[in-house]
Amino acid sequence: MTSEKGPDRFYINREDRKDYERLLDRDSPFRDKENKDLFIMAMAVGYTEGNKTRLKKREGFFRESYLDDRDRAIIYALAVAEKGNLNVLLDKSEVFSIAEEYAAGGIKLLKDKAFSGEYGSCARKLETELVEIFDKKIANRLRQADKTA
Amino acid sequence: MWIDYIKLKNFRQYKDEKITFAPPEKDKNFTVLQGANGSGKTNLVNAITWCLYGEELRSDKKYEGLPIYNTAAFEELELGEKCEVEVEIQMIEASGHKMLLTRSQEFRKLEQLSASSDKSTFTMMRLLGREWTNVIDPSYVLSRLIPKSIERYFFFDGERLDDYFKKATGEDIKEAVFDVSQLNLLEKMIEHLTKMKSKYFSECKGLSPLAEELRQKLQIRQRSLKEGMEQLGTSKKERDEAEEKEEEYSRKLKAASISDIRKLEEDRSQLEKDMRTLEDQIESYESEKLDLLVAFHPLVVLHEPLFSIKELISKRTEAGDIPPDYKRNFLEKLLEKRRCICGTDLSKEDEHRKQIRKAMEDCDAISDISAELITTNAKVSSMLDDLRHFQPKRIKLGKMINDLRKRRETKNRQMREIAEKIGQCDVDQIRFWDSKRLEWKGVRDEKISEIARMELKISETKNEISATEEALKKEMRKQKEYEERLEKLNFCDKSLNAARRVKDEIMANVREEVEDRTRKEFFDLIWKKETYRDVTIDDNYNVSVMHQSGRHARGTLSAGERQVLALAFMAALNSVSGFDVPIIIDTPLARLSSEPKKNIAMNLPNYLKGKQVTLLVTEEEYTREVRERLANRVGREHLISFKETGIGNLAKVVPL
Repeated sequence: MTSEKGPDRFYINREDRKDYERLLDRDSPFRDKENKDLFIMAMAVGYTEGNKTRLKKREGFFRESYLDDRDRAIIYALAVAEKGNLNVLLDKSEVFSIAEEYAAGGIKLLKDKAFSGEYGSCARKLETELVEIFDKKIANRLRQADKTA
Repeated sequence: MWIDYIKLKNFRQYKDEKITFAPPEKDKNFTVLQGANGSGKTNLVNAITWCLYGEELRSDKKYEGLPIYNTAAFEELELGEKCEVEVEIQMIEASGHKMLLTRSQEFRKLEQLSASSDKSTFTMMRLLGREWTNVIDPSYVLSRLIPKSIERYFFFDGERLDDYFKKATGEDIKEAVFDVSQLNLLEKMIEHLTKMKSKYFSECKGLSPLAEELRQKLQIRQRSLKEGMEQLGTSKKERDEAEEKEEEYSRKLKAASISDIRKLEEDRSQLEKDMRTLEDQIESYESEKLDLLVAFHPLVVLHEPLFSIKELISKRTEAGDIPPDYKRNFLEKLLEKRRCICGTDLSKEDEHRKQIRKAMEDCDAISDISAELITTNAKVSSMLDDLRHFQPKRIKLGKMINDLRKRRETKNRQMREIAEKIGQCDVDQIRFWDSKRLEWKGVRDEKISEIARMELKISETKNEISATEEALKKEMRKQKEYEERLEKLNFCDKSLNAARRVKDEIMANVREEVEDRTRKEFFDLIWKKETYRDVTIDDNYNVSVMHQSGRHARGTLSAGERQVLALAFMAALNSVSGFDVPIIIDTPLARLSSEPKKNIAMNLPNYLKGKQVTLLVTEEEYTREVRERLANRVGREHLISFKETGIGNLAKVVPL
């Protein structure tokens, strides 16, 4: 699956670059991650917190071709959820913008998650957060899906 | 190139000896020299480095501080008489040409125990035709054949190899790769360009108050970077020294006359080893768990959008929109071209054209991305399925980490108990050694954290320097008369970037080559071929051994396996360096117990085929079994017999 006729890269706010770079420092829990992984995490955080920020001074962050099918599916899902229909996927610029704005709204929160508290506590907090969402909202849905199947 | 023979005259315990070596041709390319500890194996390596570089580069505690001349021969001299120390090495180049390297130094006897000497002299001769010809600049020619900076990858101490991979960081590996890449010229260029940049920036005096402030800031930061780098080097040396000292006192405790103490110290060493392994395992599982959490984060957090897109696509699929009968843009093109693919003319506004137009109107726009939607749906379905594995995987990893932590706590408690018992010993000497060991351990730990802090500070200073440079350039751009200087600065920056890029590219290529060779040698040597899947050196120069399960196994390698990894790495560096130099390994199997010793020996004949390899071994290493396994590859076997006399030590080299 490749995205056709869309922009060739994802952009971030120029002022956010240092936050992304901070997340790749050696004391960061995400130090060995790629730009696109951080972007998707920031985007997910922004979406959950309902935080969307327009890009002011934008600059390129990574090429679209670095995404794999899984990454693309996540970004598409977010855009569809935002607009409520599949037609948004016809306009890749719009899809990218939605992703970029949520990432811009989530990057600072992601940085806070990574560095607040003692070293190593980020993984614990992330785990607690994911387990809570999973138990409350996903486990039942998966069970129901199994029953239907 | 290979060593034909070495002649030693009055060098340490060798009074007058000639040692011949097996040529690398055919299969019998191994030379074995067997001798007890202290008999002169390490000093043979020292004789080689002394001959080549005028320095003994291996430490032999027994001979530390003693003169290099043979004390027995010196004793026989009358006052004022001279004793000549000479090491002669005949090497044969790949072309078949003989080369004779000789270093000699005279020592005149002044009193019973003192001597004066001139500097040593070094000569190199080549046999061209039938005549020996003197090489005019022997040290320079030698530096092109066997550079001193990389000699340690040719003449290495097997006993230290295990330590090497126990402690080696990505930085150490990077240094080794840099050494064999021979990038000195490029490094000098980078140094020169950096100096030029500082010069141009320093010429901005009086440009503007802001520029002056920036210029001063830059100078301060550059100075602080230089000092920081120097301090880092010193701290690393101090850390190594502290480690050596800690080990030295630990060895003393292990050799103590009280058997209980010996046992306790041995247990402690084992516990420390186990702790390191456990720490590595915990770290590896924790990182695996974090990877799992990061991978599942968008899936869990964005489960609603994922369920929702799946539902929307499924509905459209059920409605028959996906896959569509036609794609909207396909029909659009037919109308544009005014001809159907069946050949029907569509140029007039007739029934055919109307039908196509109607089909197009009925067709949804998303038909154009139907293929993408089908793939997205499949991917989302598989991701939602993956969500089922989130909890089992997380719980399994958490359990493993907890178990390891419990084991670490138990080991920690055992170590505390041992420390208490040794501390209560009523022998002053033991308590002293133990307190010294603890003291040096404290210094080492302190240095390790100091180094980490320094590295962080250095990286921050580098960032500050580039930001200040940019700001200063911005100021320069405002003044026309600085245009030329700015151009020069930009040229320096571009050249620096290019030089660094070339350096990185070469190093990356060399790293890949080293990785390939290490992998090949590792699997040639290792006996558990089914246990491991791969050996890799990543972008940060971290060497990993991959277990079949896909987990990093370097932290859990046994001493024998670590030795194999180190032998493989050394062989790789050796072969990638491009220098055709024979290999000499001092005590390659010394630290191994009998089983790994047997296992390594079994595969050692596969090691470095086509290269001349010399093994300096003890009797305990060169057991009957090891000897039998190597027999087919050994071309020469010597025994270094050693005797201590009242006036000095003497070593004789005889056939084994």
